[in-house]
Amino acid sequence: MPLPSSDNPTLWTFFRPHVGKLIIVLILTLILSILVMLPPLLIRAVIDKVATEGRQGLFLPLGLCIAAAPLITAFCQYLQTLGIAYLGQRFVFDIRVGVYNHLLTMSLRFFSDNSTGKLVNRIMGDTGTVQRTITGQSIGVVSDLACAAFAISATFVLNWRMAILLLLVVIGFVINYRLNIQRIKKATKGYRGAMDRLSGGIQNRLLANVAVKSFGTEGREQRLFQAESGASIALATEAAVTSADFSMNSQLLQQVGRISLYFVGCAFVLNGKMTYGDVVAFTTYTLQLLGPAVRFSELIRMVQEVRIAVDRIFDIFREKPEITDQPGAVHVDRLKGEVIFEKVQFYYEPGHPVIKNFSLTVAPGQTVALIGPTGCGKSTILNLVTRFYDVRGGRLLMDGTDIQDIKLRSLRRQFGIVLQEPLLFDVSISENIRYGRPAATPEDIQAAARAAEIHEYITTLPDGYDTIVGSEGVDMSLGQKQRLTIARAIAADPAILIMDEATSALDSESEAAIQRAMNRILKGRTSFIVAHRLSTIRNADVIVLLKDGHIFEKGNHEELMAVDGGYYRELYEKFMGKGVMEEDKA
Amino acid sequence: MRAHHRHYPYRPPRKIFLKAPRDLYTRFLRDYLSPHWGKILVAFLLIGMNACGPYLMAFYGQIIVDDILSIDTGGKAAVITDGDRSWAGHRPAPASKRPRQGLGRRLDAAELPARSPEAGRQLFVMFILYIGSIVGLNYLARIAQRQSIRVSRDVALSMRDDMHKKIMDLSLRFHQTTTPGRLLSRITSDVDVIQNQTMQAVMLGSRSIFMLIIGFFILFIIDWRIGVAFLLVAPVYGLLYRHFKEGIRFLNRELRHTNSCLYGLVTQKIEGVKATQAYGREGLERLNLHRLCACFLRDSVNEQGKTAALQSWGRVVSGMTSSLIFLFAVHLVLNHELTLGEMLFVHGTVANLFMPILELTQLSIIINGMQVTLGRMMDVLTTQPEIVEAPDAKPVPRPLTRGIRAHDVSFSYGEGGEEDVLKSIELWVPAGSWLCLMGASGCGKSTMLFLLSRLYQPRRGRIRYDDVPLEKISMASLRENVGFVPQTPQIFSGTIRDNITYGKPDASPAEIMRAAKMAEMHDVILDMPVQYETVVGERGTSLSGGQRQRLALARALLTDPEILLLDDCTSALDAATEKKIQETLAANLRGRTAVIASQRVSMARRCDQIAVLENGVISEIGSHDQLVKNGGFYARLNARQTEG
Repeated sequence: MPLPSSDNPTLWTFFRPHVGKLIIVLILTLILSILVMLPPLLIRAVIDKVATEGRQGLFLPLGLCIAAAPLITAFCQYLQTLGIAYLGQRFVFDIRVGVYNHLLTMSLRFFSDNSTGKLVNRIMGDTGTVQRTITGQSIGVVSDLACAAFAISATFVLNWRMAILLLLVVIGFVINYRLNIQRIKKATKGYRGAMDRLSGGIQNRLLANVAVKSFGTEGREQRLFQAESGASIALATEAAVTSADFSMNSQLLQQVGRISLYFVGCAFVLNGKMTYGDVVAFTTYTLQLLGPAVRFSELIRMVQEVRIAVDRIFDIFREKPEITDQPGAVHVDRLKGEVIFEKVQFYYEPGHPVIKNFSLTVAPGQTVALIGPTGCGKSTILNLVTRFYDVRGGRLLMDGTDIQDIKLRSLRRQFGIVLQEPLLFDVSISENIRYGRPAATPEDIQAAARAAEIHEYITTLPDGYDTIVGSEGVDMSLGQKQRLTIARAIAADPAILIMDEATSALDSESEAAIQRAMNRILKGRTSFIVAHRLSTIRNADVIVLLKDGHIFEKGNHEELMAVDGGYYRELYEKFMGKGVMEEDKA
Repeated sequence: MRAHHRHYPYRPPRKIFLKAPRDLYTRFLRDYLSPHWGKILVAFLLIGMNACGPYLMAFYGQIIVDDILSIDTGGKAAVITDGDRSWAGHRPAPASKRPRQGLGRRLDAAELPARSPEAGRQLFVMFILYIGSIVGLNYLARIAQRQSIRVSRDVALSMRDDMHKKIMDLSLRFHQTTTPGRLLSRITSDVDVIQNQTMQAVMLGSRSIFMLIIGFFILFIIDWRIGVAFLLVAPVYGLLYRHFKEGIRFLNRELRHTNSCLYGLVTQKIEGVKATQAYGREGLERLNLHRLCACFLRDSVNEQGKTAALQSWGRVVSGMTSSLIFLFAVHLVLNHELTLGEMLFVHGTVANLFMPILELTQLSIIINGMQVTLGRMMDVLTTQPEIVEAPDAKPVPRPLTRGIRAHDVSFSYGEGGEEDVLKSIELWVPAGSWLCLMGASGCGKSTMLFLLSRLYQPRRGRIRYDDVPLEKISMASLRENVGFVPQTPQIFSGTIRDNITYGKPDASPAEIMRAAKMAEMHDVILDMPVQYETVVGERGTSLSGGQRQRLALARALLTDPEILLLDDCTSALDAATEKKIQETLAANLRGRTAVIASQRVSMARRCDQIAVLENGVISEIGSHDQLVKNGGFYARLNARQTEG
């Protein structure tokens, strides 16, 4: 894939790989323009030589030429259309893939700032606009240019006075364009924005359809939608009307200009200053000059639309990933799993610290249980360890290396992650489990599924491990999905395990089973667990009680229980009977 | 070509729409176009008239050549046409041989041009006529264009409305089997496509039909043989079109499908970006998109190739025919059967006549494309909501006096064939009592709650509120009186207040705060920068799981429901908060009827009855003490959760 990898891509970056093919298409277009000029010459020859001068012998050869010309022209046109179609599609293909690849490198913050609907619209909708314009419009440009050049020189040879008149008409076109283009641009931009809002609204409703249904608010949502839809379509109409007016103006100018020239020409004929043949030729060339002019202004309108779309696409390119490899970042193969927090600080928004002066040393293989009330920053710690966010102060070291000095790819390879909300994709179960380790064998996958207590369920499915997950596939309960993500983490065989202990959706029996499996996989691996199950907490090597972004109490179960009047002890005694202490995601 | 395969991840095979295309168009015409038939007719007529401008011009040209300038011979083709659009191949553009001398050379024995002394004045009159008709036609076309823009706007608006309404009305089953991204593309881009295509169809259709009819008329008047020859060629187009049609249509369908799959893929991947980044599988995701995009690329280049081939063949036919007719006309002039002006008029007409034929093929391609898009839209529009309101619907009995009863309720998610999720469930929740549903994940707890709230409909059996069967209860009253809190909280982008007041938009601040306090959310909200006006993003990603659950709970409590259905909705909360919520609920909702799915014994203990679901049947039912004594699933659960 010759995908542009430049840091700051421009349109040119995406054009460059195709310049060669583009030139071939352009040459084809030039040949075609010349071919198009031929039939009129042949026809003239027939009229002059055959009809007028009565040279009947020329009738057959000329007739054959005239009849054959369309064949050749059509063939060239076919090739040209194909070439342009391929180029346009390919160009957009590159941009689409490029934007998407760029998105994949963006940090979490970017995704929480930009709605999915908006991003999807950029990748799909805007690139589509670009593609349609390229394939639809660019063929005309070159042949128009060639025709126009020919026509201009010809008119000056024929009659310079009329040629000047003709230029005046062309100036009329330019004025018409200037007068309208700003309005068209504004309306188009407004329309795209309105479509963004519309998509966002629909997305919102579709994602929360259970809430919509259970409150019976379909009617209200419908009214909201109608308002949004009405607003967007009003802008669309405005854009359409403005551009329709614009093109009708152009058409009128073209026709009036041509007719005036034709009659001025006829007047010259009456005065004997011109022959009728000159007039006919002149008007024909006028057509060839003004026709392109109409198309050019249409084209410019299209270009405006494309520019807006391109702007919106490149807006995404201009967003720089927040979390990137530092120069000189090192590759790590497999970490032993020593993690040191040195006075780590973090905030999502300045002035609202989430983590304050967090220091902790985790030896390889230790299990760290993070507990604390809702919003105390437990999940934030997990996001810092995985470098979804960068620390705002202090350092985070892994095996003695600052994680900002480790190549991101190799860093992320170290983790197995289980989140509260299972993120699964619409591919087969085995693909989902293999996600973290593509090289996993079917045996590895089965072993992981067994460990996550999901194997039994999978074998009851008609397609077994090949069953497609997701909306078009098998319907799974939240607990089953969660177990699949656990299987995925197990299959990844990570050096460091991250669990936002998401067992809330699991029934107690499989929870207990998972517990056994977890004890097995936690062994020899550094693990960070936002824990709520007392057994996990009790077995953890380090229990960190977080409160308001700093460590409130720290130690293993015995140590903490030994603290008289300690918060942990109080909590533990309170929830003894429950089996579960807490779980939350900050 | 169908040669390359299209089986890629994230691209399930395309659904085959069984609806006959004719039905699609009839529906489209009846539901969306017929209200505007007047406007469409006007646009049709006016655009058609404007389209005949070229013939008018050619006719004026003939008068000028033959009568005013009196050039009855010479090597010039005085054809003035307007055929400058989209038909670059064959402009009637005869170049002049620029006779510098010898104006008016004669073909036969004609004398000097008998030019009228009035010629200058006549020319001026013609000029005025000419300009007048041009400006008039332009003005009319402008009006027509506005009309058609308006019509297509109204069509798009009402289609979008209907689609959205339908999607809102469709039951949960539909939503759980359809990706939001795909639906989104149907409402937005498919409707856009239909809008553009309708407009193009009206414009092209009227233009080509008018031009064809009038053109034929002219040809037959000037020389019937030419007319017949032309009539003979027309079927060739039909054959050409038939030959290419199927392939183009097939590719079009595949293209639209790939496009919507791309939407689905991108949406899903953006939502799941955390998993992708965490496992460093950006490479795989690149490949996934790359494959789908490449599939799209191949198909669209193929499709455009086929379309271009069709058009090129069309050009071959039209070019050759018009050349032959031209040569035939020259032959007639040589035999003194036609005047030069007439010959040029024929030539101009023939050249102009092929444009509408080409446009007709284009039109059929457009209509073809419309069929694909329409099919996808009608697929949504004709899906019947599974759950509909009974004509004699009654409100929910309030207060509930006897309770909720489920009798012989069975349910499965699929179309049938697979094992039922719930099998012959019998349940009775006396009015004012609480029932706790427990059981392993996937045992059917959530399903039971979906059935009780009528988000799904039982496959067999009946649920009654007091004596009223659930399907006889009006939807509005059901939604008003039943508070359902789903397992995964659903947050809208908007403010916290918007989210809480979702079920009751006119709630007073005091009510909102009361609900938030009951859900233990009030203090959390007060800590936020602008409190109740804090904006939460799409899916509530700025909130923690527990906060989202509490927000959803507050939302349900605000509506003060008679019946409460809670689906494990405090699972993400820390124990202290959960306990507090349980206490507030117990204090405030005693006397209301509630069904609560939970994993927690602590919750179960607060309920009057506990039902344990195993493999779709109720294996145990009774109070806490009874079940503990029973020694079954619940007793084991109790033991595990209390021992710690």
